[in-house]
Amino acid sequence: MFSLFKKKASSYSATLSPSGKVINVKKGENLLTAALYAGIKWPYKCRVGSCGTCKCKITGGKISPEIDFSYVLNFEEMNTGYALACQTVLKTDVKVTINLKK
Amino acid sequence: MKNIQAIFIMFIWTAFSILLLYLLEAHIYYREVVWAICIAAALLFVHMVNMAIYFNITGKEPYKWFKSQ
Amino acid sequence: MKTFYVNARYLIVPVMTIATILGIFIGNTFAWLGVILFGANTIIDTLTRGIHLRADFDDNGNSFGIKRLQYAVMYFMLPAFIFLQVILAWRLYQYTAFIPFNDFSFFGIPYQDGITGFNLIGSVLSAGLWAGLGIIYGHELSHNRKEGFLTSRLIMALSGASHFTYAHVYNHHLDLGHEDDPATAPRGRNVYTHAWLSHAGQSQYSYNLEKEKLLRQRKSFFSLSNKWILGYLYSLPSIFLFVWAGGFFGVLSLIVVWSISNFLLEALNFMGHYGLIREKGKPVEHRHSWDNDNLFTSWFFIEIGRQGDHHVRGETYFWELDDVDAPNYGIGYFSLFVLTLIPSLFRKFTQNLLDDWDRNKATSAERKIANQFSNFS
Repeated sequence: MFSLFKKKASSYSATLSPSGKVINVKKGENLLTAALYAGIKWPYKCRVGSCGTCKCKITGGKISPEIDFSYVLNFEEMNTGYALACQTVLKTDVKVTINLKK
Repeated sequence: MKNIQAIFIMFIWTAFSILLLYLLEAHIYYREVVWAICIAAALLFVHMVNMAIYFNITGKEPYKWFKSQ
Repeated sequence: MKTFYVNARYLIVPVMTIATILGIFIGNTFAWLGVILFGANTIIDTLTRGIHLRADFDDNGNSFGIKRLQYAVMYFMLPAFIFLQVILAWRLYQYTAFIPFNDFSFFGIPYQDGITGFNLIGSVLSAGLWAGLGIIYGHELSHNRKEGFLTSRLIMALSGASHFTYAHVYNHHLDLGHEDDPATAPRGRNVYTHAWLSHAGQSQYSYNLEKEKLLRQRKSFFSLSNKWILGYLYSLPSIFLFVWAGGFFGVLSLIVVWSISNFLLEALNFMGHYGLIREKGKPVEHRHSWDNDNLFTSWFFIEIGRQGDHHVRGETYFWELDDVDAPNYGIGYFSLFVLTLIPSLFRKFTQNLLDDWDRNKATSAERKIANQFSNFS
């Protein structure tokens, strides 16, 4: 009940592993855009959620998918927390596994 | 070739459906709401089946850039 | 002032769509207003073909676009297009019910009750053209979050092309410049063939996408989770409206409206990528799309002509898209559309441009594919 009166955050943090980098993601902004803005070399290609290049694993926290991931991610990925960064908006602070060397 | 085959079957299917609607006197009762809904649903179904006929017969053939490949 | 200028310039289509609706409502020869506006736009576009502007940003790199306003306008276009169909259906009803001619007034707007066959044709053509031009909003919203995506589907469903939204995002943006993308026209194809193939191909893509998805989810193909079926069901209210309002004439009119609007949509796809080639799996770059960015085209088509930038930065708001030195036809969409209608003229016009692309922009692998076209022609 008291959560109704909680002030909503204007931004959230995403902690990346294994690099340990932390990025600030503005409310409503997608994870990929925030990462690129922070100078992180996140792999990406189409930026509209169709290629799957920017996929990452959300290991903690809540996200809101902007589109249906099931067209790009397979069944196993869907059930193990994978997300498309270009279509991911944060709902809380999150922990993300992403291989930046790709 | 597959294109012509598909279009021919689509034509037959459409003609058959229109004939059926005509025999059911859809052209007379279309102003009755329930009839109008049923006719609309039937026409949509005809269209969807037509599309399905086209891609199931032609597959990827019409989209090949080089036909002899 | 600059903010007003940047935002107001994208209101041409909403204003002209409302004018078209009003024209059909007023009746008589005003029913042709949509057709006349289309013609006038072609002239304006041709006269302004030499004016090319860059996107507007302030000193800090921020654009002047007001996101809330532009989105409100895009969402507003859904009821506007619904109203366009309703007003046409009303005229169809009048025609088929033999409503006698009378002059009336509605909140001070004079209109003529009853419509002649000739003016009904004008109404149908006007509605078809503006439903087709309005597809630019369906395109823009397809790149947005859930409610935008759904609105896009509903706008496209008014033209029986709800499958576009999925095919555009998951197929076209991924596969453009390759035969896997039905919306890319290969060299030598004309706009008429492309209109059908691209329409059917995108529907086929959505059909297969759903088939595979539902198979993975162990669900039946015949379910409401099937977005291909659902997309067509979104078109059911339109079909019902036209059947009820005009019977045979209603269905005929809807076929004409859908044909025109889909033809315009596919003509945009045709012009956007005609003859450009990309190796499968290679990144989409600026050179894989044609820009049409003269002043009138940019403002009218809410920058959809900045295809080069759009395909590389698909998430970018339309008012932030810019000239990225993509291949450029040098003329606007309206002028080019007239050329596409005469295939031999269009091929002649594009020949030099494609030769230049092959020489200066294509990679050696892309040039090799281009040579195959020469060998086959």
